[in-house]
Amino acid sequence: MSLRDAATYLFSLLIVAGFAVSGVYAFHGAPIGVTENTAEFERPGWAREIDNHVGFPAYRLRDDGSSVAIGRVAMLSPERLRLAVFPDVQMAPVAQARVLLLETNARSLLALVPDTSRLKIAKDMERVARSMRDRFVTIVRDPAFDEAYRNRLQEIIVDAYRTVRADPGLDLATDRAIEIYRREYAPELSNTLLLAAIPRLRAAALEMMIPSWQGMLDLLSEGKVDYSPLGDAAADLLRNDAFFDSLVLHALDLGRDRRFWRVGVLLADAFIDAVSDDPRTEALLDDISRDPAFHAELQVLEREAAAATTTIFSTVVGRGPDMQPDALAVRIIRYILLRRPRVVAVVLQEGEAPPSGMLDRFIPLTKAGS
Amino acid sequence: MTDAADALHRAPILSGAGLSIAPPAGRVLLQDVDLTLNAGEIVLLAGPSGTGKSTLINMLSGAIDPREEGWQASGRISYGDRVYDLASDRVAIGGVVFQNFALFDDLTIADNLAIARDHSDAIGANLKAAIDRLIEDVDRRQPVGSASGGQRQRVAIARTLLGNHPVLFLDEPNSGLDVSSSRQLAQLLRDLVDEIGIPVVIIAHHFRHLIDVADRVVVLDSNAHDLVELPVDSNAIEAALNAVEAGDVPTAYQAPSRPVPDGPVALAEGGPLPDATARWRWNWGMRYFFRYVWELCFSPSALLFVGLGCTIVGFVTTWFIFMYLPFRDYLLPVIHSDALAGLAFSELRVLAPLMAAVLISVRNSSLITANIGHKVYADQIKSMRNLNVPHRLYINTMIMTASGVAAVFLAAAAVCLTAWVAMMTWAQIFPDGSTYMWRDQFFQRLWPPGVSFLVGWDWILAKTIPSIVGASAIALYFGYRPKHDVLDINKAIAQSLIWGLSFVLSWQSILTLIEFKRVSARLEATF
Repeated sequence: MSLRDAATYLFSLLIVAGFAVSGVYAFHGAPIGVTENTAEFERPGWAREIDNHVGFPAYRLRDDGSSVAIGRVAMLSPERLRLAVFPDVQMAPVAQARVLLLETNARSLLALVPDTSRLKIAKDMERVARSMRDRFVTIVRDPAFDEAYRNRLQEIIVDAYRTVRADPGLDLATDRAIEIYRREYAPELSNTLLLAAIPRLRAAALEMMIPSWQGMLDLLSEGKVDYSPLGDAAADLLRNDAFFDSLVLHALDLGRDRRFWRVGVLLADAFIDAVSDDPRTEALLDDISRDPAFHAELQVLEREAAAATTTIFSTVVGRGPDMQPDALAVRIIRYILLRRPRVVAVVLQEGEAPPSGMLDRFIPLTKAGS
Repeated sequence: MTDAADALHRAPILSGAGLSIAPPAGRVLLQDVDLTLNAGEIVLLAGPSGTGKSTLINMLSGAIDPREEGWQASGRISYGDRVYDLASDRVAIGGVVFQNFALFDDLTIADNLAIARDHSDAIGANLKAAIDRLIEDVDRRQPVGSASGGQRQRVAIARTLLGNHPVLFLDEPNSGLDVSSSRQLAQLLRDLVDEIGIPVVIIAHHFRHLIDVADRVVVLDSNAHDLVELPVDSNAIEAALNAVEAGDVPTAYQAPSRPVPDGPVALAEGGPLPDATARWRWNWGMRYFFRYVWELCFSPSALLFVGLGCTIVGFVTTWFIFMYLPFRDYLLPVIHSDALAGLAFSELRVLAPLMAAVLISVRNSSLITANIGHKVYADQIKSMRNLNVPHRLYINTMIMTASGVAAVFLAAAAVCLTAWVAMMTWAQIFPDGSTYMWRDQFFQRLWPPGVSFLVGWDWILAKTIPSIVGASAIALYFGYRPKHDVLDINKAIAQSLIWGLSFVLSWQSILTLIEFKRVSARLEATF
């Protein structure tokens, strides 16, 4: 073999070796010098049904709330999971970290929104709510609504409420929530909201009772009551900014209470289901939307709602000064759209303050065997 | 030499009766011709160009198989107790020294001799000694191209003798030689024939320099399609050739030098006859296989072709997807995972196999067609046939097998390198990102955890193996077509490139469309 032939063979061998090494690095990663950073945790009870051989991503959060993928969660068994940090990610041992397992739902999505962004969302929502309130009050006080839609809407709402109350489980949960509310929140209610509302509601009650003898007769003989003064009073109260601010703060306080949150979500779900299942709802909304009397108001409402939705969505998903979409938020939305039970892990290093206080509500995973 | 020995030496050992030969779609060359060859004699076969002298010896040496390619032949060839029907049997009675020697220029001189020896019966000590003397001054380790013209001619004669045929044919052996060299060659042949005792038939235009050693002279009369026996006399040959070229009957025809026997010629025992069927030798098969595997797959240019092609694919697709995405800042986080999964599919299952197949097919097609075209043009294929070297097995089969090996290896190499380049490009774009995250998302559909091998590897092979092997088959086809000059080789290369590339693109397109249809039917996010 000549020197030239030997050099040619060697050159080919080097290229083949280059192909092989590139394949190893591309498909497997560095074969040597890799330090494992993994830890096993107990699977929380709610996550034991979730199975996925592919595993789930794990993230770290930056100070601005944006996320960076750092590893993968593998479901080992119904009781255990393993979190493996990517070998090229530099971080302290994951076994010493606080690991949160988030179910991919709206609650987790909101929990990941930094507190600063959440304040912005609250302001946006408040602005939208005010606008919707104004539109709603204008529509409800319109004689055209009173004439054509009030009774139909009342029937739908009353029937939906009855349906919700007819469910024993929900009924029990509601009673308990009311009991808690009476015990813990009623004083606040009476001190703030009712103080402002009672004079106006009292006047409304008198308006309901006093107008005519015929009204009294209807009440006594057939149980009929003209609720319109009460509706007007409610509309007036909603238009009162001081009262509305108090109402929002009260609602937010309730929302922070996990017991009310759960019951509230259950009731809201059941109530919305009942309303949307009612065939009269669609017909009613269709009629209102076609009614020329409300055209201008609805148009404004639609425009503002669309703008608010966009703003709120970009605030929920965006991070950083440019509000660029965050990978973790996008992934959660994607999982929600896929409608499959999935999880993501958020790793918080020791002493690291999460950008969202709501993350403190999630219980960290327990290390396996501890 | 005693009279008895001389009689035995000159006894007839081969006869042909009623020989008729017509090439495919050509005019008749020989019509009902009889021919007898005696042991230890030198016969000069003369005739105008294009009359079929070379065809006759190719037919009798097995270089042309009348059963193939549309040849029409008939007649009987008798050798010892064997009788061949020219219409149905491949007759490999004669060893041919081709005009251009047809040495295998990809082998050394020693290997040229070895391949002939390994595919024939063992030769006697007498013949072996004669061959050794014939090339005693030739360095057998040198490549064929390094030897002088005279050395190459003697090597060609030696190689043909190693084929152990009962007759030796030389096609224009003194073409291009000066008078002195021609006379030396004539004497060499005379000595050789006297020593080994086989008949030698020499086709020669320049017969004057060989006439002194000839025992008989035969002229091919292209008008009568007949062989005419002449006296061993230059003037008689000259006159006969002039008559043939003028369209007349050669005068010497009416005065044969020896009487033609009435009945069948009684043939002497001519010795063992080589098996007409080509013989497979394991070591030569492997040698050709490794040579073609090297040339078609592992040589640096093949590897660099694929490497550079895949570098372009991996870089360009990744870079452009992530850098030139409309509304990049907003869309990237949203589509990043899906974009990587899509890139993996397009890069590894479509573009890398396509790039490898196109580049290797183009490269290998030109190499194969040039190689085979040259072998055809230089009579090396005929020579292999004549030496009972199974060229179909050693060349065709090994080229196809090597192409299959190249398809599998280079497709795998293309996939590996493309993935790595894509990863490095991505790492360049996202310096803060983990390449392990890239791996998770890039392979989320092609190689998810729990799956033992790359999903769709069968599609990759289904696209690359037929592409590259098919292109090689096309290249072989054009390579084997008749070559009359160097331009024919160039033309064949161009044709094999055009048809080979068309085939590769068509095959890849069709399979990719089917693949897309199948994949899109079960496309689902798994990550």
